Amino acid sequence: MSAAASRAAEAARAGIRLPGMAQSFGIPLLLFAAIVALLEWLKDSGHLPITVPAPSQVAEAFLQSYGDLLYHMGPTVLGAVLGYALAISIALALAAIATSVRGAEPPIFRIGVAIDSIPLIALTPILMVWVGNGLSSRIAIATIASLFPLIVGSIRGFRAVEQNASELFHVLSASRGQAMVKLALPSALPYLFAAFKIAAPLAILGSLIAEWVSADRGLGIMMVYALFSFNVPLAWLTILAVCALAALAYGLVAGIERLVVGAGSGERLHSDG
Amino acid sequence: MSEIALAGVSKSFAIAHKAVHALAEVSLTLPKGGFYALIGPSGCGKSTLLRLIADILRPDAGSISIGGHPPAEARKRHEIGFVFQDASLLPWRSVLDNVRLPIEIAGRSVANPADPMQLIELVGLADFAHARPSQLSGGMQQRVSIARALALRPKVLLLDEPFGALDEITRQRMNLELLRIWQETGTTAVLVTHNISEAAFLADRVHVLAAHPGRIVAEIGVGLARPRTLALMRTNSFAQAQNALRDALFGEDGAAEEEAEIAAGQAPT
Ligand SMILES: Nc1ncnc2c1ncn2[C@@H]1O[C@H](COP(=O)(O)OP(=O)(O)O)[C@@H](O)[C@H]1O
Ligand SMILES: [Mg+2]
Repeated sequence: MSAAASRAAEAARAGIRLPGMAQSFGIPLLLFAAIVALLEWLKDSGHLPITVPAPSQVAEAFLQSYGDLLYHMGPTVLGAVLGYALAISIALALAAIATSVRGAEPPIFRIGVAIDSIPLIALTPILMVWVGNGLSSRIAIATIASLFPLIVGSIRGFRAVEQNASELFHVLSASRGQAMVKLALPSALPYLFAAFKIAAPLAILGSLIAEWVSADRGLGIMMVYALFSFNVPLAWLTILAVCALAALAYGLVAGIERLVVGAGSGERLHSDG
Repeated sequence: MSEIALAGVSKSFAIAHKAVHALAEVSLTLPKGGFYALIGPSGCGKSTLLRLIADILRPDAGSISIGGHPPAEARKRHEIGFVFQDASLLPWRSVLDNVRLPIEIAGRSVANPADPMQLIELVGLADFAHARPSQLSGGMQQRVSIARALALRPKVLLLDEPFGALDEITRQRMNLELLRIWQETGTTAVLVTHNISEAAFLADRVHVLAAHPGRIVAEIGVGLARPRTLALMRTNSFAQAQNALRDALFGEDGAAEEEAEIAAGQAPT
């Protein structure tokens, strides 16, 4: 076999391999462009309902009102970030109680399930009577929306220390502090970050829901105005903005995870036999 | 390098409100510097015995001493190295950092710790010092675990079925390596196993345990010369040592059924 042929065979066996950048950005970008073109064509030929705008209309709305968008984004993000931080604090405290007090886990878990199963859109108006309709309501709803996965992840994380590893630390006569820093925390981190990642977009959603019900500023109220004034492109613009925020929040936490936990365990180098 | 002595040690556990006598009235003396094996069917209390020596568990009755001191003292002075059945490495640490862990924890309280890199070379993993445990095979992970147990130059090295999960070929290689390490370090080694040939190959003396309640039923000296090599396993004297162990485990007539069960890795109950 010639060198070229064997190289081709090699490539075929390995499957088509694109360079890293092309793989992680090129293909999604191409797909995105294709979908945009398809939607544009569908809208032009009258196949799309009036409630779905052409991508070009949304782009136009963006150029017209990106100032408004940024102005309204501020309080939404602030409410989400503060609510997220509060939810993390509550979840860590509850998980610490659940894992250190005998019999505390089932009731804490049940309360978590109960809170999680309340429809937020129904709870929000009631909560507003108590906490008012400003930043505090955004924080409250964002907290409630993101709390449950954080509780579950924290409890699992705090229980993640393996029996043998904790016996090892005992044989080594490690202090409580050493066991915490060198064993409990690193064991918990993967579970904590899994929960942090799920909860981050939920906090944004919570902040948004609070604004739907009542707010003088925020992406939620911008969305509601656009809907009631039947500004379809603007409504879609706010939806896309929320999606982008949620994805950004997830990506940010995932980035922090990579920094803290490291690049992961990599491939197996060796096996017995 | 310390003598281990147990006198009248008993330990029971409560399982579903019933007391299980894991160990009853166990007495034994393991002179310093030797290599000892504990053998018996699973559930006979081998791990419990090792955990008692390492001060992971406290005996209900009886006394234990390591070099004349209670196990808790030996533990706090970092004189005990323990190797678990599964390597129990910290997955977020590299091989080197896993081996270094005991030194980090002991801090200044241990004057003369081993050099982690030398230990890694001792167990033949110099090329993998910066690999993560998940990148290594089971046998390599267990070697890291042994290196870690040696980091503080322990006076006693306790190994709980360290090679139980490995295939026969790897196990054989690990046994040779373990003997070499033991000879280089001069530590008192206690190995739990349920493998007759492993016990005969490694140990100076084998303590045979039986279950319900867990107790020592025989103590058999293995008079094979050291250093021991694979060639030894083909000799008559090695076969005789194995037979002696087999007799102690199954009785002189060697109840064939029971033996088959052991070979299949099941505990006779
Ligand atoms: N932590 C524990 N809790 C309850 N029972 C235990 C515990 N550890 C061991 N046992 C019981 O003690 C007996 C001896 O166990 P073990 O020492 O692990 O045996 P071996 O290591 O010889 O297989 C078994 O019956 C086991 O069920
Ligand atoms: Mg065991």
